[in-house]
Amino acid sequence: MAGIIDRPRFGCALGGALGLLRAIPRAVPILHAPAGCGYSVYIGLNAGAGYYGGGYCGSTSAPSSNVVEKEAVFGGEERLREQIASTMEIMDGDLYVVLSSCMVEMIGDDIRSAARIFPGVLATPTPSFHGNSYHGYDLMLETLIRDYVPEQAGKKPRSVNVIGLVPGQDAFYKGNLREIKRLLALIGLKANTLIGEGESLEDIRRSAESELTLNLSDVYGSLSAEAFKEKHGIPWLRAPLPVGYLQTEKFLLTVGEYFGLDREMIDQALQREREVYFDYLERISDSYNDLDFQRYGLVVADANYAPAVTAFVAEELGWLPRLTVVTDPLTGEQRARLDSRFETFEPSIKPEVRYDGNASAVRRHLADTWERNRNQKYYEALSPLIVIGSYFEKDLAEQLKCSYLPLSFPVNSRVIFNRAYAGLSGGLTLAEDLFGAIIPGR
Amino acid sequence: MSILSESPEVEVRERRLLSILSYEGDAEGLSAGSKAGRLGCPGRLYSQCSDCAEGCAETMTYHVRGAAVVSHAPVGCGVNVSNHNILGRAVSEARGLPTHKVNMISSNIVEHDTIYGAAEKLRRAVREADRRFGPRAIFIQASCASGIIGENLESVASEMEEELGYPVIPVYCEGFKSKIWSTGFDAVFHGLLRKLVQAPGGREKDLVNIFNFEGSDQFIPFLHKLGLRVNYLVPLASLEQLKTMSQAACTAHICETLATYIAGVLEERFGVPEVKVPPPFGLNWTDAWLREIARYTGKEAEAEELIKAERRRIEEPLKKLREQLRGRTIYVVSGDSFAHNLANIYKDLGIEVIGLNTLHHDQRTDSPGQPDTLGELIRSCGNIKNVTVCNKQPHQAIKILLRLRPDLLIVRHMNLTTMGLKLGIPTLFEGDANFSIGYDGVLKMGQRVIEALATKKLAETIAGHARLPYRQWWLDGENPRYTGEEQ
Repeated sequence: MAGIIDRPRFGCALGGALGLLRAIPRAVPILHAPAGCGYSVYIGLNAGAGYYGGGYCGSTSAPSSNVVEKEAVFGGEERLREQIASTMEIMDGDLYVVLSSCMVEMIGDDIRSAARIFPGVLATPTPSFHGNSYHGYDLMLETLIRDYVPEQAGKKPRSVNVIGLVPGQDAFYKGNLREIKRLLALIGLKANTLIGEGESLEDIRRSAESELTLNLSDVYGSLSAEAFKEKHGIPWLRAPLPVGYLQTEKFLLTVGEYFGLDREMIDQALQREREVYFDYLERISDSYNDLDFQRYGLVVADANYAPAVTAFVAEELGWLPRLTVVTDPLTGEQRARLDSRFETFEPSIKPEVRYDGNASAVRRHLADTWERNRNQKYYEALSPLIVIGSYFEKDLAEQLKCSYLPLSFPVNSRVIFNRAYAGLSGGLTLAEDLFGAIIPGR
Repeated sequence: MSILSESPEVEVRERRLLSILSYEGDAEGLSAGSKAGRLGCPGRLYSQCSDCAEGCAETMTYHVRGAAVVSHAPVGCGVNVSNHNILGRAVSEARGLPTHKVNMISSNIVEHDTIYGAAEKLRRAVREADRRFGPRAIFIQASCASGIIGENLESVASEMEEELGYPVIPVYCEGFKSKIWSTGFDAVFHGLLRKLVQAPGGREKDLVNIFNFEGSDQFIPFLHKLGLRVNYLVPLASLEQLKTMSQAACTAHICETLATYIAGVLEERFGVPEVKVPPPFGLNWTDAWLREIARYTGKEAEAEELIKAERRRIEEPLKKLREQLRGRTIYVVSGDSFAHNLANIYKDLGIEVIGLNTLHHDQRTDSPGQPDTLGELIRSCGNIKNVTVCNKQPHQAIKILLRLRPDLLIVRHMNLTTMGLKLGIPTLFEGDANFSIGYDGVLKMGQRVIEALATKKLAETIAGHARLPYRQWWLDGENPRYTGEEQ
């Protein structure tokens, strides 16, 4: 977990916290950091997340104490207090959050005590050496849940908080949340996705009235889910991000079961959805064989996308995913959880699964899992192949002379606004993008 | 005193060049104050994030062909590597060079390392970079974290250099050490001078060093007209090009802010004369620059011919552009000397530079003979009334733009153009520093200004729906001062 990394696929904890605050309307971050941190993290996450933009108060507008050598020697809390006070005078926000960088944590500044003097100002320590941006999202959300969301006496029946998609890492988080909200509404649940389309700080403040927290991730968001449970008495359920019909059905059945909903009712709700979905998807049956649309697959993605996308291409597109590389640094427990996601695959489509975040390691894993051409009498080539990964896999796809679709961070070669890969409409969009990527001569 | 620092690190700019980060007044006031060296560098009571030395350093180190970079840092510092990869690819393609891929490894400093040290991990990362990328040189980039734990990069680099048998170059670019991010360039150049640049084995009379940012190859065909070759440094240069820069006939810059340190040392140590006039932006500076290059390469007669021919060639189209652009106003936001370069173009197009913001200002140069680009700009264009020095800080820049309301904003640094669009001001991004050099550069700039002015509707639409994060009193008030005591 703490090893060296060849071309990282995430930013630091500070970046994850900034990514989340950028997703909240009128939130103002206050960085206690050297001058470069805010901009450097922004510029990486912006492009990596499909040109996410700085939003209301991110990018070069982000307030930052810009500490230098003097503070490294004498401490920087006084400078931070000055910066918090001036930020509140000048910047017009509904939420102010102090975040920290590696340097100020290493010199022992206490951002929580500095922030405490200012009523309503929150603080979340986010040094990179505590974790990456997926973790930073969780730290920031946990702070909001513990220190900002007011407690509620009663719960609203059939209301659900949705967490686990990480803005600034997941280029599709917003479109995905829209689809998840729509799916849950199909079975009579009211979802509060906290940072979805049209949602605001008010939704975050009201999140304590939900009956359940749905965590869409096997890896991210656990601190936040626990915080909802401990602070607000809201139990949580893990229901991984679904892509395509089969996963969506399973997702709704899992959630429905929790609420004791009638299976029949869920099936009814899905009837119209099936008609729409398969009316589109079956179009491909006219071309699938004629144009040879079956592919071997190599999936390189984060813990949310790797299992979901692998399962989608294997089960719904009939593809042969031979290798899936999950790119997060994981604990043994998290790894076991992901392993179990692949255990349900039919043997004929079950991929080899590797855990490795190093950009140049993917080729090695491929060589390990697929015999090379050594002029054998008969050689079965891994072809035709598609690489579904991040921008870092572009080179690999070129070397292998195969098709390629980037969807996991960083996705610098795409601009993403409201596109979604989650659920039913997302599954169709992903199928469009994948088939689009393999049309010969394109 | 020698320009080359004898210590492993080069002195930061605020002490070496008396660099400043805030000023408000006119160009002449800034020039006079700088000559006397009496302008200070106070801290800010309110600041927004800007850049760091590490970010500047990687714009050079990531793009050296045949080298690898070990970022001795927590993982977040490396988040920008994918952008550099895309840049390296795009620019190699544009310049017709083999695709450049960034070979970078992060040592991934974690909490444990901040307590027990991370030297062993650094050694491992260097060995791994050697194994994976097969480089012929490795840069070790420092970070705030490695600086605070007091990591001894010097000894690890020497050790690894012995083990691997090629240069391992420490780059001291800790973000907190200097308020002036350009110090990161100096850190890279100092590393190159200590570990890579060799004493000249001869003199290549037709080779001109051009210190540059990553960009297109405008200089190469331009100097080809004089029968000269360009050594494009540092981005996308090979190790061989870097080693032999000491053999060139002379050294020039795309921007004085970038490389006066290394250019000064090349002249002092290896007798490579430095071009002592501003870079070729705008017609008069281009004439003077060609003459100066010609002086060091024995091409005086050819240069006079070329100047005459080029001036004639662009006369007609330039006249047309002037007719279209006369009376327009522009506001320039860019790094110190590069802002002066850009500003010197507009007089040729009949556009008024309504104001100028440089992101820092060096009151001194590394050697006394180096050009004072601000003074040269005043000589060339007269005094400019609204001049500020400000390290990005959109909260201040936006107030100036609201007050001056230029027809167009031009910006050299990423993620600042959004200020213009959110205020409804058409905005031009000077991402490729090479784009506007020479005679054709003036024409291209004119054409680009015309195209950018046509984005008025886009800018107005965005401004109509964008919300600025500042309180109304701040936007309405006289420019309140939010700087603290002199430091």
